[in-house]
Amino acid sequence: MTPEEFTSLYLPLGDTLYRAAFNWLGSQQEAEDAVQDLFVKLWNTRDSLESIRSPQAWSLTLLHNLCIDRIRAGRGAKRQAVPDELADEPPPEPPEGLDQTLAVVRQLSPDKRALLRMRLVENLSYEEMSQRTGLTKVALRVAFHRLKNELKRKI
Amino acid sequence: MIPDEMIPVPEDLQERLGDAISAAILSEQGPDALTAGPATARTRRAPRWLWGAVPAVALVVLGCVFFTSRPKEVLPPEATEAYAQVERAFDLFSEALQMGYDSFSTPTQFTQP
Repeated sequence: MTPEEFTSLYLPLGDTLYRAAFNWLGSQQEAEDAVQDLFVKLWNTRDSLESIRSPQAWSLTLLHNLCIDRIRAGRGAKRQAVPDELADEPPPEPPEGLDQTLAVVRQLSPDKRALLRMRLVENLSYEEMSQRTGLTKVALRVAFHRLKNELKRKI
Repeated sequence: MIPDEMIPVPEDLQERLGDAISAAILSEQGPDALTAGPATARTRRAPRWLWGAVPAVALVVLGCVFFTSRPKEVLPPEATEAYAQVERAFDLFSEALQMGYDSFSTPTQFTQP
């Protein structure tokens, strides 16, 4: 699945998934974390997502598992019984180095994070980013060069 | 269970999800993914060498076509006939020249008076 297909099929599900997570976990912070973990997991398995007929149903199933793992770990505010069919599933493994990278990304300024999203997630060209931001392509190239160096130092 | 409509979604949820995916890409591909271009373009842009290779191949093909092609017979029959006559005349002329040269180059027998 291409990044464009992923962003068009799965990112719009964010609100629905957040609400479901909130219902299961009862906490805004926990729900946000669970949905975020879900999207990272989905992204890392995007090559196998082409065979999924219903992205929403698949995402909800995965999210349910993630929420159950959080509840098991004692992080969820609400306690729920774990359904039998999910009881033996192993918890998802976080990608290596992701937490550190995510911390670095969150420390960036909002403008830089927006540039990152446009480039990496939305996969926009310099031309498209120029139209959206009003910056010249040269200015964008310079900004990305600096951002890349900054990330190289921190990651 | 709270009805879905009653649950407010944080305004920055989409941004947060985008940041998480950005971090996943960065941890997977490194910061160079930033300047690598779209598609990442895993998919889209032709490699740079192709921009030079395509015209080069086109030039070679055109060159082969040019050098192997034969000119078409475009002369009308009258011109062909006139050319043949000129050619015959030239042959006769050169033959006559050769004969004249031969006659001059033959040693002349002088007799003593």
